[in-house]
Amino acid sequence: MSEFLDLETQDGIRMTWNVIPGTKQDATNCVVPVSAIYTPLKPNPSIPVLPYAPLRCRMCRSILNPFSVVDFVAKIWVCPFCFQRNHFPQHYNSISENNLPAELFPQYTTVEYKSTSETGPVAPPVFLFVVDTCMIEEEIGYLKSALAQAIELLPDQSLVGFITFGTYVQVHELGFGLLPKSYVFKGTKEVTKEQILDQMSFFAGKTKPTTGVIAGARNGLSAESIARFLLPASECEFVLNSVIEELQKDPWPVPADKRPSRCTGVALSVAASLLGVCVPGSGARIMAFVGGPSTEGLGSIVSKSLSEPIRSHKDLNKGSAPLYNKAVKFYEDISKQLVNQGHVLDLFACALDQVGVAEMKVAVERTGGIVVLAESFGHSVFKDSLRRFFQSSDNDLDLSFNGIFEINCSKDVKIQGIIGPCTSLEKKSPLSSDTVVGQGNTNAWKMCGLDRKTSLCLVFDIAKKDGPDSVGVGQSASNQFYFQFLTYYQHHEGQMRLRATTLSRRWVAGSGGVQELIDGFDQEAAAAVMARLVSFKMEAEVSNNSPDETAYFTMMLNTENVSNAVVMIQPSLISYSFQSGPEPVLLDVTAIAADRILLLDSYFTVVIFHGITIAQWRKAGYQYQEGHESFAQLLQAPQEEADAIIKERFPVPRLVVCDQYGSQARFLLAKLNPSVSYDNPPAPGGDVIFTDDVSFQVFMDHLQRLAVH
Amino acid sequence: MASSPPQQQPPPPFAAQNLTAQGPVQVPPGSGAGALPGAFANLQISRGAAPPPGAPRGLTPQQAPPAFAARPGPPPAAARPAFPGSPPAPPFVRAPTAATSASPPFGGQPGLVSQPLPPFGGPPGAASQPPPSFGVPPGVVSQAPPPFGGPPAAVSQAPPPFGGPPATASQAPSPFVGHTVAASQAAPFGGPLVAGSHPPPFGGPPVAGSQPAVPPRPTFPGHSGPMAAAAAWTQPTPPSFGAPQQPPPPFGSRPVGQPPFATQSAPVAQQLPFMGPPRANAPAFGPPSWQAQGAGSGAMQPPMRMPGIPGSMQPNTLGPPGTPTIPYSPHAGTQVSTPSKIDPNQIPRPMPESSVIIYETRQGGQATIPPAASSEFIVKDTGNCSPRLMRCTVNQIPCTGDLLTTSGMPLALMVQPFSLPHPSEEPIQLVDFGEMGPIRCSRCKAYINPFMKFVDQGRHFICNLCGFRNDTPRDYMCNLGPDGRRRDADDRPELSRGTVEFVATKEFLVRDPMPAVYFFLIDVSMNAIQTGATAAACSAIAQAISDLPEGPRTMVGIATFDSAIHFYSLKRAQQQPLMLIVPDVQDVYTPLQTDLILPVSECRENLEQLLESIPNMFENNRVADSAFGAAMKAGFLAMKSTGGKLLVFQSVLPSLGVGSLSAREAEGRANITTGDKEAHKLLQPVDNTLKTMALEFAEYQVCVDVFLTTQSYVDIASISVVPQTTGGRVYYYYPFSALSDPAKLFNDLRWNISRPQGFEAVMRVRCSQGLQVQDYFGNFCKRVPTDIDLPAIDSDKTVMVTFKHDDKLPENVECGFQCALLYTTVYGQRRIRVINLSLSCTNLLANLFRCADLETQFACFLKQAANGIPTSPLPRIRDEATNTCINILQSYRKHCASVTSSGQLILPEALKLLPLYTLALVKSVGLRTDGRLDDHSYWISLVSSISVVLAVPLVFPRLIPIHDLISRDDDDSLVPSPLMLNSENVQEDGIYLLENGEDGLIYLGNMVNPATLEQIFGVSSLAALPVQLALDQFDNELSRKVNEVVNEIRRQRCSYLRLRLCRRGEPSGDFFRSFLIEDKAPGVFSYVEFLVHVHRQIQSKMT
Repeated sequence: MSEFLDLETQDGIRMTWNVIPGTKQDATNCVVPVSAIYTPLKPNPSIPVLPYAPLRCRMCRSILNPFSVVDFVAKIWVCPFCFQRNHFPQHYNSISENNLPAELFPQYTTVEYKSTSETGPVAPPVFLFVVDTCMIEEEIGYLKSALAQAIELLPDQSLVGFITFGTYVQVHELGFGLLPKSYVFKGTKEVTKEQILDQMSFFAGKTKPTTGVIAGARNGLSAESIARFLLPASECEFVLNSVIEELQKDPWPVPADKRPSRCTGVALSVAASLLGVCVPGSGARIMAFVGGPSTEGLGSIVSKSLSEPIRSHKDLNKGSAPLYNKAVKFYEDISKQLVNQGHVLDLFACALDQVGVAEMKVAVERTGGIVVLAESFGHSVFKDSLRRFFQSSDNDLDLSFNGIFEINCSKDVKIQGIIGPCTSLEKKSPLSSDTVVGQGNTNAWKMCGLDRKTSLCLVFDIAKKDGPDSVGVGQSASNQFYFQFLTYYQHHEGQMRLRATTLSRRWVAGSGGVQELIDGFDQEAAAAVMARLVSFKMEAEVSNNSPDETAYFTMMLNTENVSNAVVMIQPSLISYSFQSGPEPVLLDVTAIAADRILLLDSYFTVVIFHGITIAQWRKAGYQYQEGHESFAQLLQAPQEEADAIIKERFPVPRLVVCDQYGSQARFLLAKLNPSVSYDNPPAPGGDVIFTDDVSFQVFMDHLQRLAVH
Repeated sequence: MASSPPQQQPPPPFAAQNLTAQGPVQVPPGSGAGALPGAFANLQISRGAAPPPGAPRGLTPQQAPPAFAARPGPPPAAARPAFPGSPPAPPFVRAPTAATSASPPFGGQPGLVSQPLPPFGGPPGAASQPPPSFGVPPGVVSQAPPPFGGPPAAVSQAPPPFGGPPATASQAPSPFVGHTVAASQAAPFGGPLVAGSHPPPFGGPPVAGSQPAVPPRPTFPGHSGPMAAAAAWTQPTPPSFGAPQQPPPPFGSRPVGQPPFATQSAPVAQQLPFMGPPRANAPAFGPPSWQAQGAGSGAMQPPMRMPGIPGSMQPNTLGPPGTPTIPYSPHAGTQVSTPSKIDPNQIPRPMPESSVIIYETRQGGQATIPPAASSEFIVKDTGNCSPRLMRCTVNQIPCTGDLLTTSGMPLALMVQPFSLPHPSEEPIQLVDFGEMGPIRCSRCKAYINPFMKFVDQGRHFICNLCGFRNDTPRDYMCNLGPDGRRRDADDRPELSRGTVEFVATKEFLVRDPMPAVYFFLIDVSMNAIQTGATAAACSAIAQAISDLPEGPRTMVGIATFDSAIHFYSLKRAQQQPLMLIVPDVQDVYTPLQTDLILPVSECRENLEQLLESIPNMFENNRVADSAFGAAMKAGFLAMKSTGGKLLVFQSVLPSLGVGSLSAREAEGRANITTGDKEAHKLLQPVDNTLKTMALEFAEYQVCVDVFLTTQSYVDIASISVVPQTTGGRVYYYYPFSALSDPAKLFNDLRWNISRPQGFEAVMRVRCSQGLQVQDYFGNFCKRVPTDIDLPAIDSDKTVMVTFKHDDKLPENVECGFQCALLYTTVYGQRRIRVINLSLSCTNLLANLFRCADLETQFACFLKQAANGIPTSPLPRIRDEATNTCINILQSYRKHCASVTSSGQLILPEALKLLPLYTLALVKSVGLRTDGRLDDHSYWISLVSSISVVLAVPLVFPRLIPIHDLISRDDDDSLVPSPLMLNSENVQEDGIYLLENGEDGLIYLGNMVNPATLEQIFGVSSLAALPVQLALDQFDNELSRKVNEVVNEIRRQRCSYLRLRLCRRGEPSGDFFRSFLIEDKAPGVFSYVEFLVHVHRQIQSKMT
């Protein structure tokens, strides 16, 4: 197990099968597909950053790597993927066994290239805020203060834009110093890029070119006209602050029996078009803050009438959610536009009600956006997540832009697709499998937004047939497979980078290799991969959640690394008591004891659960009294652990501190195996879960019976 | 029940702009009628010292009549001895008085009077007085040098007619010389002057006597009584202006110098302009021009020769001296002698009158004939409405349609429901019937009025319009007196006044009366900014805010626009306004539902600051497009829930968004030069978009006024549809000058919002059975045939209502007209203004002609012509106008003056000036073939709502010399008598102001005295004159006078005038000369030629 973790630490990758089944048939028999969860930007201080451009194979364009065979005399290297012999260029002349370039060091299977000559000038990141105003005053207040804080954390050089929406969409012209000024678009009507160009005076005083692509400062727009809407954060702080300060509830009246008219879809469309006009191809993100369901115009998910409820999974299954498909189609179009422009959509959905995450999912996920779902803009899940979003510290997200992810691999392995935050670039190659899972049909993907945690699930197809050449034919006698993952991206500091990870795995074929296969099986990775596959294939079959929540969980699952995905699937439960140090305990109701503190991490929620005795002591204030330092420490320990979890996780999980028998205790109980229920009285000091759900034991018994039959 | 409503005393329409307005205002001490409220003052005047801002308004009641009231009220008695109503000096008596005393205006007459001189200054006078041509009795002359001074100068001392004092003096004699020459030359063309040797051409006393109906109008200042009476009241006062065989008489008869304008007695005043003796005018204007031309003979020549004209043979028909008597048959109208003998000095011309007339609308149970619209009068409403509110083209109604058709005259009412009263007039009474509401006829819904007849002990009343017998409501019952009237009739305004206002009850309300909402819309596109138009608009609005009606119900809003529409939310106490841009100009909307329009009290400071910053805000605007239509639509949407006034300041051709227009002018020019018969189509709206929009505006009670501050073509033909449909108007500043136009812009705006007005109005005119309303013309929206909707109606707007017969009217019953206007006051009260006019019916054509109202008819012709321009080729419109004139005169000739020789052109007295005005119309900007499309369209839009009183000047401007204003202190009216509109009156050493109520053209001759230049313009040479004129006031008498005159004209016209300098040899000079309508112009008749033409046409029709 630990070796898998070591491999992950070095290259950011976990594979279901670290020894690969050698034939298609073998792979099929393995049930769990050959796949990998790869975290392209996983931070690792030992990864070298090379200030020059990579050397590429002139045949397959793969990059020189430690697995390349090098002829130091002839100054030739052999590509491990296509076996092409490549000459080193002039500046590699001094290469020798004792003088290797970093990319050939065996331990540097992952390297990063940072070369301005290859990647162009530094472009500042762009943040376009899109803020809902159809909320009660209280929520607006929360949102305002959160935004005001966020603004202070914006990197100075980054460009900022601001859009508000409600019944109408308002694009604030931050560059206009004299008055607060904004362009107002109707919420019922889509706005095209062309209209943005025409209607927002991008060609004032100039004639508009009649042909050609018009977009951005490089393609026909003046920097001044762009600077009206997107300004360096350092230059518009005052204006931005006053705009936020003056945010008000959408002024259009709402009848008592109606939902407010909220044109989320059109607002996002306007935002996308504005970015498309101003900064196409340059890293930019739309940060949408949505406080309720979209009811107006394209992308609306429910009618204004309160008598009509928001769609549920049941409605979706029955096909009785009339707006759903239209809205999804609309957001698909937006996602295409954004991907085309290289821009990200982030969604901060904070409402008790659903806001349409399910519909917007496609746009968020395909652009690699971040999604945060909370009940209120006043909730710490939102507030802390937003702060984390911009925070520059060890734990920051390293938000990066405009990624392109490419795969090279040895013959006989094909790629079915990727499940995760990216979009297929539809570059079909011999490597792409005919069987498609997720984003497929390609060997290159767009990742408009990615961060240090973004993890892709790559699903491979073993194409090699059984037969005479099944083992050790030709060059592949070495039984090695090679993979090379290339990630081009705009680093959060602005410059473009390329991270190259090259891997080698062994394959085995036939029955003799079973044990090897089993040894190479990564159970956790398999769980994470299977979870993604299942959620991808059976999305609608969910109960107990709203479509928005399901979409949220799915998106989080699809972007998390293996260990976090495992926590989502099976929460961890740690017990703290005077009797022993912190120890993991079974996720079972029997774990509860009066003198224990339990720490539950279910990914989205972290619960600190004080047994009843502990709770009474705490209420009595013993922790403050002399002679009870150990109690204070006991109280402190789970808190510190929780802080550590919260600190490294994004979105920030909800922290619940509760006491046994308290109402908040449900956050723990809901996750526990109901081995003790009302028909099965508990031990003293234990607890009971009032549920009709079967316990794990009952489930396992049932499963065994099925397996035997 | 009856109460006197707070008199709507309109504030001064024109205030000086800018800060100066705040400054003290110079009010002439003891100014009386002549006082010019500060607000009226010119920009410079206001720099003087006096009342603080706003003071003029407050002060006016005590001090000087308010701006509008300022129509010179009755002057101090001393100044005008023969004030109407004070008959001590009956006309006939006056002669001696004049002779002995110093009543200058009429002083001239003694000579005439004492000698039984006919108006034409019979030979005796002429003979006895050396300068007979001017026939001015010495006494007169010596005492009161007339402004135009011809005659007096002749006499001797006398201030010179036109020249500066010294020059004139020396020149003075020459005119007479010239004239003599002329006279002597004239002789060949005919025998002794008709008038001269004969019994009074005006019919003399007998004629006067023959008109028993003549009300006791005491005075006839200018002339010997009998003549005056004749002229005034017998329609056939046929002053021939035949050839001046006897030069003296024509001039001798004239009332001398300024008398024409200075006559005091009211009744006369009204007569004078149309008064019989044309020569009264002639001398006034004639001599100077002769003088100017040196050899008068030259000037005389053209009219005299008319080779080939049949009329040229006419002298013979006139026969030897003596024949002229013929014209003076009782039935004869004014006669114009045959073409060949036409003396340009004797043809009919208007005679301005400056004395005040007291006019009672009914006397002895009959309607009286109202004074000329252009005269000054004080109305006493004795049953019929004031003619200011409503007047008819004829003052007796023809019983049959055939009679009307025969006459060739139109039957129409000009209704100006909010026309400004004379300050001495009683305000319109407000009547509140409580919940019962106003009493109405239950069949035709006519409102109770003095002509409803109560019968049956008052238990029933008979509707004067439909004849229905109604039950009198119990609460309204009253016994009848012995005279058959209700005993309370005199106490009830609705039974004794022609005009009353009723408080509207709930049944007249479809919603709460709307607040006074003003939404300003300003073009800020590149051109507007660069020409200074935006700044001018902002400044004008900022200053005008204080003139908005007071109170919590006055709301304002503002938006600017270029290729997008920028709204401003001002509801942000202590904060900057919020600017909200609507970029979609194809499908517009308002960015907010509230906060765009606020009570002015809540946002005044914010608004003022915003207006100040708008020009800077857009200083570098490079957006050339202007989405006018879309901006209007957006503004409309913002005010849709209330209605109100949308004031749009537009500077370029609307090029973008809904209702955008294209430059049709280039196309138009091309077409005109190729003689395209469809050229007039460019004067039609390009499509229906704006019309549709306007109809929607009107439906929601939004009135649009458009201020066009432009330097290019903007397609007024299309734009004007919106104001015309919504009760607004177009203001046009072309070419816009940031130097000279802002003052006018401000004053126009200020007057626009401060003049008497009403909102969400509906108007209907009812009339007696036998007649029916044919159509309405004006600025309104008509959805049903009977009513017109006026989102706004103001004191300047006139609606023409035409009628046709659907039956015979009985001769012994009066024909009633009732105009009911339901409206909301600026303070939010719902009222019904009911205006009644009851006129007798006649079967006699002669009566029709006698009671014809020339100015009203002319206004009607003007409107009909303007109305036709967009749909017919111009030549046809001109022909139609000429033919209308010919038909009327021919009808008169045929049916009322058939006795006279066919060789004479005979004009009905009342319509004596019809040919002159018709000629002016034919030559007007609107009917000329040349000129810019927009000028035509603007003219058309202006005419559509023009009042009677402004209709004539629009085409027949006033020409006033201003270089010699100081030297004519003889005149007690501020504005000197105008000169006739021919180039003979324009001297190269003179400076003239020509004004038509819209434009004020200041013409400078090439030999103007530098000293005069220095005084008026502050420069010492012509070369130093600025291109754009802002008339400053300098510290000298002349400059003060000039400004006084200009301001007085502004007051009279309710218009600030666009002053422009015109110089000889420049296009501006040609433009000026195009207004000299008596002149011959290429392809167009001179006045004399036109008379000949008309005469010939009539003759050919007669045969």
